[in-house]
Amino acid sequence: MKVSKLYIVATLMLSTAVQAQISKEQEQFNQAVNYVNCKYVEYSLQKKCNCETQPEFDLIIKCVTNENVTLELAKEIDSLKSKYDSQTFDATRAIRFLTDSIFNDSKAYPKLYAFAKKRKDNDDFKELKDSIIDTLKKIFAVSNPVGDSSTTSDTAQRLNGDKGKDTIPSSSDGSEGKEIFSFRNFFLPIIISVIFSVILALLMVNLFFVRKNQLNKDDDSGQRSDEDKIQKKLGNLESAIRDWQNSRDDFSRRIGSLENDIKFLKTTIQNKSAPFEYNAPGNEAPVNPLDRQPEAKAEVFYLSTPNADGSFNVSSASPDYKEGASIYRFTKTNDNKATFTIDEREASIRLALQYLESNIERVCEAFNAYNPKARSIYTKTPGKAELIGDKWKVTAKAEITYES
Amino acid sequence: MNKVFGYSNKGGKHWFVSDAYNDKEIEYIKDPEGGSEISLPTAIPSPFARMDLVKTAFRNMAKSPNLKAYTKDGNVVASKEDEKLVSDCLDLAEMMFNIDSIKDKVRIIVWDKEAELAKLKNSSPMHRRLAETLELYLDQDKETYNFGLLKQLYLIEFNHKIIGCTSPATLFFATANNLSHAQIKLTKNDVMFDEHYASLYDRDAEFQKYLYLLFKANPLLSQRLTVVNNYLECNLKVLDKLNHSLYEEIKNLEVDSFRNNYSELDTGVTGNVIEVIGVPLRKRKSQDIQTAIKKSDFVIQSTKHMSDLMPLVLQNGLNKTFLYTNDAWDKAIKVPYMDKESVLEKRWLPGVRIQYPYLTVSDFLEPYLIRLVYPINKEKFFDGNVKAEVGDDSKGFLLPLKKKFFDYFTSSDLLDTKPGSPKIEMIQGAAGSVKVILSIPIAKEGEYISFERIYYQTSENQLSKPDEENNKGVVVEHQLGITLFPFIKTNNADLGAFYRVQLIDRDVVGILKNADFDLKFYTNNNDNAVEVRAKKKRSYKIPDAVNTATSQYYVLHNEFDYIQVSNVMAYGASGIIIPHWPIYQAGNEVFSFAIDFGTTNTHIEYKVGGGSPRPFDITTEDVQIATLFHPSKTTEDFGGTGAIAIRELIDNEFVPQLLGGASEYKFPHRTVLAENHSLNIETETFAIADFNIPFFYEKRVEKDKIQSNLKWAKKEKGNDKRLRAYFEKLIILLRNKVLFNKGDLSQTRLVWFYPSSMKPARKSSLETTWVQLFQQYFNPVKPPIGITESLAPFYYFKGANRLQGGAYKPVVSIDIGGGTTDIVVIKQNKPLLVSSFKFAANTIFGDGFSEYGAANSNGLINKYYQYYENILNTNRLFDLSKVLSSIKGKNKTEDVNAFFFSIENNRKIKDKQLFSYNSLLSNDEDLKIIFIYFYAAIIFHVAEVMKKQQIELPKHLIFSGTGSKILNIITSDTKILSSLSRKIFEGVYNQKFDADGLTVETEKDMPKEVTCKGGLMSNPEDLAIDISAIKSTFSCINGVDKLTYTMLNDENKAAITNYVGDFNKFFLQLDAQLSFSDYFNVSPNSFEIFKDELNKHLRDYLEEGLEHNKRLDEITSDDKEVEETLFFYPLTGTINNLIAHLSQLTPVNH
Repeated sequence: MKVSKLYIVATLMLSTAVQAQISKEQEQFNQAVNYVNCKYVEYSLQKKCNCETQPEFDLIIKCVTNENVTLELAKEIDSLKSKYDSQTFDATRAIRFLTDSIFNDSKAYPKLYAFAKKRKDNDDFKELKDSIIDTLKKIFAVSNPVGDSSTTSDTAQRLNGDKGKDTIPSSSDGSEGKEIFSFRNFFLPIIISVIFSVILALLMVNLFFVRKNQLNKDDDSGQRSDEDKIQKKLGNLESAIRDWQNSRDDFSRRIGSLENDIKFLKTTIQNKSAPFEYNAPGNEAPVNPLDRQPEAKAEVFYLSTPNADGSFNVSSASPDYKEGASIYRFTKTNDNKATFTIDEREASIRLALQYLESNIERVCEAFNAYNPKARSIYTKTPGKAELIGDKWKVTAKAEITYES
Repeated sequence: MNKVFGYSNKGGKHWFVSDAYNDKEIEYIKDPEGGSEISLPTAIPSPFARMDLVKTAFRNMAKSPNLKAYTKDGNVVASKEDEKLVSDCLDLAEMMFNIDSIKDKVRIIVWDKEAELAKLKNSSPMHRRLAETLELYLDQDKETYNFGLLKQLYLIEFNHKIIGCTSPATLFFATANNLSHAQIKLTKNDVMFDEHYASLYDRDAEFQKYLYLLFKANPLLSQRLTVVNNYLECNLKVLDKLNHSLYEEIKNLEVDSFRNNYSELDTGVTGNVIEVIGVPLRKRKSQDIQTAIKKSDFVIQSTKHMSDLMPLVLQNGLNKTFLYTNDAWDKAIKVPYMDKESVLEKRWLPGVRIQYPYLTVSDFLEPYLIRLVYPINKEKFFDGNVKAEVGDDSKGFLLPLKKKFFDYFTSSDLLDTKPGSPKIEMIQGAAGSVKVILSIPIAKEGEYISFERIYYQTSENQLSKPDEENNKGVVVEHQLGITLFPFIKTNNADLGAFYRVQLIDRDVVGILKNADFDLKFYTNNNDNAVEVRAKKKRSYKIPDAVNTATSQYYVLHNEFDYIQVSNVMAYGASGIIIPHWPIYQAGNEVFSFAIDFGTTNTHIEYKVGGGSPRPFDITTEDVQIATLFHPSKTTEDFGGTGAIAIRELIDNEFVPQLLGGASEYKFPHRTVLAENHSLNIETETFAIADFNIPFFYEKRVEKDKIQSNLKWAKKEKGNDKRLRAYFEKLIILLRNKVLFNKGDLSQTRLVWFYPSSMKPARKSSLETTWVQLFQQYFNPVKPPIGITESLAPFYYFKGANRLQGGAYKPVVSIDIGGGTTDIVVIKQNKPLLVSSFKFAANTIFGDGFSEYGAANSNGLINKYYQYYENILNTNRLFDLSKVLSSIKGKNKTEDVNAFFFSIENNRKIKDKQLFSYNSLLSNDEDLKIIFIYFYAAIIFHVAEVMKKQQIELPKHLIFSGTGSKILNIITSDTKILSSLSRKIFEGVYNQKFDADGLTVETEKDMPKEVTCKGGLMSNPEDLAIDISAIKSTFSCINGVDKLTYTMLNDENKAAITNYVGDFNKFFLQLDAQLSFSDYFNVSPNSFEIFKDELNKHLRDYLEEGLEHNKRLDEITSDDKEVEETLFFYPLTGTINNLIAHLSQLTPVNH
């Protein structure tokens, strides 16, 4: 009987330890992201944000106050937490990822890209990254649980970069898009638990037959009594397993239900945030632009030619891309502020290039010569616009380069 | 209970004497159905029985006081059956009377008694028996039914079914068959063969009169068709009460009118008339129908269509009591929204079966309604009275009118708000729908017929098809723009008409991306479209590549009133544009224009009457173009559609809205012409269609091919065309200026300028072009006057009172252009001497004698190119930097320098001083000596020529021309220039100036403009002098006045270089009198080098100059006279060489 208890306890501990390890790694990664976030914000604002205390994101953004660009940066960094993947996690690559890779991917991390681009030649920026690397090494290595030597040494080895699979997400390994609600993150513990349950069951059966053989060798007295006890215990154990399985199934259902709820909520938010009902040309029931609600709870909308005074007409905004009409892609940062870029689609580029003065120069500053045959126009720094009345007034021109 | 047997009313409860029943007794027989049964007996098998039934019915009906079913004392006198039989008979008679209205559906089959019976008899025994039976009947009842008079029966077939036949007893009888297929309306609200039985007095008055006349004119009918005659008499009694006027008319009918009023009723074969008992029947004259309809209230009140048959205008659901054809309109009549019969005269009026032209909705309203992406320019075009009940007015519409509308009305009618004019209204509804209401005036005074159609938004992915039959139109949104030039009409054919119409098609995406538009232009007094002299495409859209737009230009030499826009692709839409044309009102104002067509820049000045000259302009008061889009209400982004090409291509390819004043476009302007890169110059070309003057040049990125050097381009076909196109556009702008400002075209004056160095042949060519164009566009009383460029500035300075002390003493006018410098010496307002030479701005800023460009080795370029490239890039002016690089690539020094000079005026430049080439050069102490040397050479030469001509020392030097800006580089202080000039003159003349001294006059800010202004500040005729008489060419060789190329031997060439050497010596001595260092900041270092290099290679430069200029002037014979002084040839080479040396001394330091 003691043996059977030992089996059960060992199995449960093993299962718990695996899950604990996963959650610990994620906690470390989140902690690292927070720290990195705080340091970059601090550097961006050139003021102290008590990063040594390793503040959470909500404290970091309090430090940002009204600086929108930095706020956007902080949000983008915080979104990196979703990149954690227990299956591919590697501390070394995590550090490299947080101090290097994220600055090189303009598409995935435009804010970070622009942030680093501006400071690529600054020595103090390089120093900052070095100091962050040191701290991150500590976060990943030192904070491992004491006594769990195998895990610690494994992490240490990974930090040394000479062993183990290179599994930390990077911008190029294709694992970036995985979210915190991913299959592996949620169902892996369950699957592991199921496997252990099956093993446990097999062990119990094995135990039963071993014990039975032993009992056959024992004297007959008390044999029936022990068998009954064992049967009872096995019955209890089986019942516990069934309960656990039921719980697992229930959890699975609830997770599924929650996922559906999330999807529904996302859709609802998107629908509610649309600035106005848009119809194809001519389909619309025309609406007085002045009657329109302060535009754009929508995250993204499109505009065409700017006005000569460097503004865009709110009434011309479209939540959908319109070929032959859309040139600029606006992203709202709050109710009355937005950033904009020249849309990357070929049709937008061609349209923009047709009339340089009207379509581009009013709201963009070029960093190389106009090329009417440019294949793309790269927006180095998005422009900024503020909603004033029925116009999106450009407060900062977008910085662009023509690329052939 | 006793029973009464029989209807004799003689008792009957017992045996009684009984005879055959007479009518009275029959009346007593009670109808068990009470007279309401209309299912006639069907057991009677023969037509004879039917004839009898109808006859009996007439007899019975005649007993009814109102000719309807009638019951008296419980006895049925006239049953419903009788009423139906008589009604059907009259229906047939009325159909025959109106047979022309249904002739396409009716066929008459003739049954000839004798012939048909004979046929039967000769046929089978059974047929023979039938013939005998028929004969028996016909014979037995010949008295009762007039069979004795019967020769032919006429069976009437309607829609391929027999509906009745003539009857010798009652004129007609209908079959007992179901006649619902023949239930048609003719001229009355009555429907034939329906269940609403019409008595005769209910029917068309004309028909009634016909029947009475028929009987009156043919007494046989009254005698033999007594039942009908009785019916007619009864009907007359009813009419006396109900319609007394008709009663009176009928009573007074003249027998003679029977023949006159009606046409023969034939079987379809002319001459084969339909008769009853030998009396030919007749029918309504078709002219009578038309005469009647002409009085209809529905007749269109056209203002222009004078056809004999004016169509009716019919509206579905109209509930007004208008006179339709003969009778009142019945609102139940269904008017089709579209009649597939396109020939109006072949149409049948709905509801009455009369062939007569009528109009319905689809005749005037298009199936598609074209919506634009901007509001229409209401001030200049009719917007169709758009009302935005839903939505806003950010999008206008073309008028969805078909051309047919204008067969009846003029475009002015539609704009007229007076009662009786047609009106249109467009109301925007929900979901993009538009209701169009077109009100057409009709004969009924003050009344309109409304054609209404709702146009629905087309589906996004596929063009919806309109459903005209159900009156459903489709709205299509096209991205098109139209601009008219000039926007004025003269209504005077003698003045000619010269229009250009720009059409922009920017449909590049979506279901309409392949749209292809065509314009047709119409006048109100001609159905045919105005001839389009030419149609030219400049730009081409590439739909799938979202590439810009197609631009087309229509050249018209006739005025027009409205335009039809059509998408010529399958199922394309059409619409009408009606301009609110302003009409030219000829006034007495005399306009004078002066055009200085320069190598680099062209300038135009004008004056009105005796007013001051001013640069040519197009102000808000005399805008020459009219854009279909509203210039201020259209948003800059065209509603976010991306269709800005509609606006951009106006400036790029057409005519700007404004010119001069606050506009960014103004004169003087670069002498350049734009054309499409793919223009085939061999085809017929037109100004402002194939070419335009790109006023945006140097201000925006140009897409087209820019042609410069128009003035001096080689004589060849393409260049001549371009030159003419350039002049033509200018002349058209001038003409419009006069028209818009109520000037007198024929009194307009034109002055143009030419350099005195221009070869006579080239000058003559220019003159011919100006004269022809001026004649074509102005038909002037006085021809244009060409005067030499350097002569006019004098009159400007004189007129502006800039010549202190007057012009009694000689005044030297020096016009420094890009390629040539012209000199005129004037005394007492008369030119004494003229000279011209190729020593001008390009001597310093050009390539010397290099024909193929030498910018890469030019000193100025080497010094300043790097500087400009750096500051342009530093200031992120990458576009300008790229342009600079591109120009440098062409290796033409003058082009690169021209760009340096233009940079400071570029709209992108904020710090003009930083980029000012003038400023850089004026501060360049190393190169300053070059400009002084250049200036001194000109003044020295002027002094030498004047001295040789024994002209006294001048009192004023006046400078004009773009090249005179060099004076600003030398010094901004004209007093210093005066001193320098005075010393040169004194040196040459060896004589001191008197107290009046010598002044230098220039217009620093507008040296180019003074030529034109001067041309308008004098009497042009006075300036049109033959300059050859006073032209002087200084040979530089003692004793030689006229030099030919043959005379240029070594000795003479040496004499020339010696002369230049003497000048150099003279120049260096000037430094002693007016220190170059002190007065002009010439650096000592540069002056030393200058002195070292000054006299080097003079002979070489002379040879190079000779060779270069002989090529340039196309000198093929050495016998020819050298037309310009050779003094400047060595100097040109020297200056080029000196620049190369001096530019290396000190880097640019700004």
